[in-house]
Amino acid sequence: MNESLTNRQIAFIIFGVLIGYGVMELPKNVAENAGTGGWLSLLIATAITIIFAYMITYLSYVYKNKTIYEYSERLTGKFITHIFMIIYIFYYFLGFTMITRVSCETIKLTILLKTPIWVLSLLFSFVIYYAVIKRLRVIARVCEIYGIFIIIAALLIHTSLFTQGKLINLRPFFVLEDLPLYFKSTLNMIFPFLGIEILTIIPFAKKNHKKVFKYITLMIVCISFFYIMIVESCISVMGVDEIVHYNDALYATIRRVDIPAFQVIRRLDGIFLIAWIMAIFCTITIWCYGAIVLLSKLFKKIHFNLLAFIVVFMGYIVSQMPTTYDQVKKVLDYMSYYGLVVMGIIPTILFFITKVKKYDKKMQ
Amino acid sequence: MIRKCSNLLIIFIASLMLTSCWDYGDIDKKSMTISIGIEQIGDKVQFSGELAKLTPSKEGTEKAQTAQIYHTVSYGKNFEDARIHNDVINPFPVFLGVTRVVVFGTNYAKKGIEPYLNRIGSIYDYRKNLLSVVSREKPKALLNIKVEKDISVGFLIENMINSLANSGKTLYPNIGELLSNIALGKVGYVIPYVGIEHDHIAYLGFAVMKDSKLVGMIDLVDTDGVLYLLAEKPRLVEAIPDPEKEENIYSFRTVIKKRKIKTNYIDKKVEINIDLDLYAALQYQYHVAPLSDKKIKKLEERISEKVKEDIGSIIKRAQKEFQCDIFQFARYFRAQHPNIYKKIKWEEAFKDAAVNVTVQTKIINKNLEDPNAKKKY
Amino acid sequence: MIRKCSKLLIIFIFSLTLTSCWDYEDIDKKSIAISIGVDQVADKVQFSSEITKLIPSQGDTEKAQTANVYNTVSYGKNFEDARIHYDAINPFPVFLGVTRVVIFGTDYAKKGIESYFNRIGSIYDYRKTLLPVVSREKPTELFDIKVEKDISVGFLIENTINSLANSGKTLYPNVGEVLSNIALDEVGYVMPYVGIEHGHIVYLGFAVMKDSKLVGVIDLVDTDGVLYLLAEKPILVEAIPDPKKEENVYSFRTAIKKRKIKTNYMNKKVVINIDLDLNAALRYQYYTQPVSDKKIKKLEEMISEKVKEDMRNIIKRSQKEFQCDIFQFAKYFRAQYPNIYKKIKWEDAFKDANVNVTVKTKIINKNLADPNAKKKY
Repeated sequence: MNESLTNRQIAFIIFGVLIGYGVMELPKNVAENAGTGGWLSLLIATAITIIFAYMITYLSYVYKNKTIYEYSERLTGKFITHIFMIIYIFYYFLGFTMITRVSCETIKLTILLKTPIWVLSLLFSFVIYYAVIKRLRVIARVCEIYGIFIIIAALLIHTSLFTQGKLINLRPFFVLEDLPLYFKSTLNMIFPFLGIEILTIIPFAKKNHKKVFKYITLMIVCISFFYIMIVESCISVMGVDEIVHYNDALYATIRRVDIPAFQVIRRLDGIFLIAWIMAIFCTITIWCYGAIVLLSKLFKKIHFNLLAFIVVFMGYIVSQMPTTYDQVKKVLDYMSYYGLVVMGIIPTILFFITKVKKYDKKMQ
Repeated sequence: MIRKCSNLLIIFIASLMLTSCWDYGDIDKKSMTISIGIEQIGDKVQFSGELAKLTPSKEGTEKAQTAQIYHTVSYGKNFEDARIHNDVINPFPVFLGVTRVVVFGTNYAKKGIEPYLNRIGSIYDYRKNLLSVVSREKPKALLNIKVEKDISVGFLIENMINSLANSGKTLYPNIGELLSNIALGKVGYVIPYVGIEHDHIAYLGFAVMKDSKLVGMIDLVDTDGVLYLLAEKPRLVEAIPDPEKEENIYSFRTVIKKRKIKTNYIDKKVEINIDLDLYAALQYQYHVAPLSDKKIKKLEERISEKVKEDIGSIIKRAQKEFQCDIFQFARYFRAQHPNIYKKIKWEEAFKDAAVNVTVQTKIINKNLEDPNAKKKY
Repeated sequence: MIRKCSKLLIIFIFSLTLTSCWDYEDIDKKSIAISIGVDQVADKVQFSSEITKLIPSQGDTEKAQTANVYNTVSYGKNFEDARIHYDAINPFPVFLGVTRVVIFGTDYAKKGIESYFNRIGSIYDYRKTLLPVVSREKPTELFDIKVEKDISVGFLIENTINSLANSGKTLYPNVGEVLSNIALDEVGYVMPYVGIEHGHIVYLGFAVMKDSKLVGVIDLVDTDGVLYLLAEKPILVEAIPDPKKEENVYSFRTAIKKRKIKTNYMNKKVVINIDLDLNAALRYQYYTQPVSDKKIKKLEEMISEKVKEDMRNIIKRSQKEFQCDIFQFAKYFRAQYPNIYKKIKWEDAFKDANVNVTVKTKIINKNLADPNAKKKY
């Protein structure tokens, strides 16, 4: 089956995987860790992400039509590759389950107060299973369609938020004495950028020539501006002191305003929730797909659909395991450190081996 | 030709059989009772009723109006007598199939409501899932209140109890359940207790029935203990003051995760063990204060303590004050120790039963709030 | 074809997740609260409210009528308790999603309203853009007033404040904004103050809140200073007497062209500089008189003087009488000196702050009237 994607689809897969649950609490995290100067921390985090993204893209670009499983085996041998794969699979699996859970938890607490969490999770699982067995191309297309809708909705929502916000809440923009703090807080900003490691399992085709770097970098920069827009619009409405108390900062902000100018969509929360759930759906599907694809490389004999079923089913069970919201949050906090390993360290190792052994020259 | 005719005839006769010529009474030729009040006045039974008159609406809307309500009162030395007097003042036969609620007056409830419950159980047109309540005021006074909130007093009471029961804040015992409790013997039960407060009809708590006689009341604020034991899905609110700072209050919503009732028979004494696992969700704090893990533990203990206290004190009241098993623990005991149950007298045994309550609470979320966030400035 | 269908299916199934089978409840099975009153009566919290009943309209209009409004009152030792009693008198679960206004009684406001704001902030169905007001009279008295001007008291208050705020004559602080101010600490805020005058509900000015406790009232005629500082687009009217002829009054409409608030920190003292550029339009004179350029200059100065005076007075009052920063100057100071802000205690610093107000006015038009035209004959 031809799994190759166009450059634009690759870029939108990144959009789909990054914009997800994280945006809900992004303004809170930024405000808590870096105050009103948070935009700078976000920019620094973007720069770091672009470096990692470059390395991952480079690997995929050099090893055309191969995923991390194949080129890692060539570079490091079977044993180490298996270790890497287990790390990745576990990571994707955990991410998929915990993001599902935390999203359901948030949906329950914000909109569907009486609906049990297991029902929400089950519905998510059904849809994800269905999307995943359609493989990467369909997922990419869904990401494209949803992505465009999300961008339009977000622009609409956040411009209207800005009209209701006050500029004074955004100041001070930059405090020189806090510069070390801005750098330190970058570590906390990495979670919203987790997910670009998905590029390791997207096989590039011949048609994805050099331009793919431009697409990916541009997309990450766009996402970073997207994040800054979200953060600044929320802080401008709520003020930095209050927003830190809301785990659902974005939704809380949106519920704070109603815009008399648009009578039809006076309350923005409806649009927001649709867009947000679409975004979550893309994220979870891609994470789940990541786990399944890598597993299918290890267990070549088992049919992909069966494997998908097993993974989704297990994921559903695991997602029901934590009892409290705080436990889920704790797992996600650890995940962001784990994410540094899979997004940063492993690709870097592979990148340098490629460079040192000059595989890139040989491949071309 | 004849064949065809005979076919037609068969169809015609068959359709005739369905029209029920005998039982037919047009809907606007019936007096529809919405609520019935029963009270003891002197040595007579008083029936008061709220009846609806179905008038076709004036315009061409399809809905029949039920807005016209009138009240009736009749007396008699027993039900049959009162019913006859009731029938003689109504223009049409009384139809009980849509009755929403039966209101018992306090005097009548004290004398025992079993006969009337049996009557409801047997009379054909009564709905068996009818709601029965006890009223602090005379039913006649209650039914005569002018209601703005709903179509009539009967609907108001039913909707009120129903919505409270749906959100886990009261019980909705219907006649069927009450009859089965009566059949069990030896146990009591509770039914909703209503009254008039500030000219409004209000739900006041539970009326405690022993041998179907009113023996006491449980006030609204004390019903939590009963609900934790009896309600199917209680969703209650617990306000827990801060252990360190009195003026700050944490408002929790609790739901039951697991409820286990085990009984035992040791040294000729009944032992009832109640195990309750609660989930609590923090709704909000009166004043936002940081919430450490240690404090969460502490609050969990406080909630458990509070709920345990509620349950413990209501059971003690049942044992000492009401002297009857309003929680139907007998069912559990009989299920677990059928042979012993046959031998002992449950009513006596319950009074001296040792009751152990254990409550465990887990705070599952804080309503997406993060009170621990540090401020930058 | 199948491909297309499958995509449609994905979207369809996905939308299914949004249909919320559990949370569904029909609108006419809800008691819709229009306004909520919160007051302190002795040691109890009093919840009063205006609730509407949705009844299908009789004619074939599509709109459901909301005309039927009834009032309820309930008491409790805290919100949770009061809410239980509140639920116990309503036929359906109370829905707060369309509540227009929350009215705090003076007694309750003096005790502190922060906890109720936290409650609104966290309870799911409350709109966070709700209007909070303080009432001079008890909320129950307010609700008992028969309103002819609008559907109900809640709507009347909301519409009054809203239309005043739209024309720049008052502030419309919603619950969200107040919560932000509370989170900022160390600052106060103002809320609309309403009351009953001559049997009508009227807007009386601002209630001044410090630590969310009512500490004073700014009378309607003194609100100009506050509006020049806080309103987004104040459109106020200034009546300036003729410098030479007292009985002639010039009526101006003023609008803010530029407002600049700068802070400074000198000699351990906070300095607040307020720069205001006003545009004034002469609407009419009481008696038409020539207005020379010199006179215009003079009038411009007088307007500036008047506005300056208004602002200075109100700032002085807030420093001396209310002793709290109701203008949220703290935000400006923090934006400019975040590090100093961390060190000082703003509440104390504000009390001794130097406030310099400069106002510049420009008369931009004379409403197309030419008072200088000479008569020919």
